[in-house]
Amino acid sequence: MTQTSRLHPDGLPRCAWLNDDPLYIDYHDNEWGVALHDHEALFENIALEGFQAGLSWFTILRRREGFRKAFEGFKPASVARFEETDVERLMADPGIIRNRAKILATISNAQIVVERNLDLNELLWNFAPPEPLTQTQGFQWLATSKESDAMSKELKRLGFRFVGSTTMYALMQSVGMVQDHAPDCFRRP
Amino acid sequence: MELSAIANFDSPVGILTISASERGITALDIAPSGKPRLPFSTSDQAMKHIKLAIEQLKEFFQGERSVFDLALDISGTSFQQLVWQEIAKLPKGEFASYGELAQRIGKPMAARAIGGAVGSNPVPILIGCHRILGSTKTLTGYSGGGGLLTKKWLLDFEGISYK
Repeated sequence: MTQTSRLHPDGLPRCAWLNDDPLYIDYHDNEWGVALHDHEALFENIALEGFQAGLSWFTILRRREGFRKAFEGFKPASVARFEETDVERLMADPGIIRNRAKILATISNAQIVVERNLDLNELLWNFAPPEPLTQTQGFQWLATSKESDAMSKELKRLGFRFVGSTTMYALMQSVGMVQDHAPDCFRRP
Repeated sequence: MELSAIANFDSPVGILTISASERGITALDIAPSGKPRLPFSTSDQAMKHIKLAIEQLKEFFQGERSVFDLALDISGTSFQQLVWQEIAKLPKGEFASYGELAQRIGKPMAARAIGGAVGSNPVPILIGCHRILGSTKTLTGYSGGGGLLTKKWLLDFEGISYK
């Protein structure tokens, strides 16, 4: 066991960033790093990673169902039609993170997806590194990569907000563009 | 593992799309959604694996075979391979719970984590993950084909009772 992984009470070693909450463990075991190509799910990921800025992923994960309800399942077509009344509704919703800038960015990002008729699967996976598995030798979790820099630059060019390189790298780890489980984690390919 | 051949087989649970490399069967998709994959082959050896699989599946669905004897070329984490190998030991008609599976791979406390590995089995029916039930014989889930409907059909076919 290295310091990048920790043995859990069920006998399985997992990435060290994980706590003991069953919700977080399920996410780690079944979602993080698993290839995600669904357009709406990818939009949800962009939104939630954006909301995470300055907070912990666990804070967001605990509220994920609340977010999904508040943002109508993150269907870009629905979110794109949100108006000021929806913004007020969201700012009063304790089930999400009540940050006006992030809420406005999510609505604006949805509008871009709709107006430009973007296929997020095609757009985002274009930036996936050819070799998804991160290096075992001298393993450490990076904050950004060349690919996340490029993805961030392109999304910003299209007008997206809260899509900095760190946010994009977190997204790439989450949706399986990079395989970043710790070398001793039982989920490492 | 390179995909070298694909063929389809019309089974009682739907069209089975079988993929193979030169080394063995790489995947089996039950009634996959979307346009059916067109059969192709760039390798006689890969197609041989598929033809043998189809022959054995025919025997299985006719009630003449309870264990598959095929070369598999499937990839997964070492944990997943451990789980799949254990499931593969279950012949037609036998079942196990996630908890029992956990015990058999030496991780008795890991029943919950095992669910994910069971669900990511790339060769359902060939490795009978439909034979894994909850501790009180509940169906829990099935990620292949028509989900629980497919699982129910297979369990009924094998005479395994469930809740």
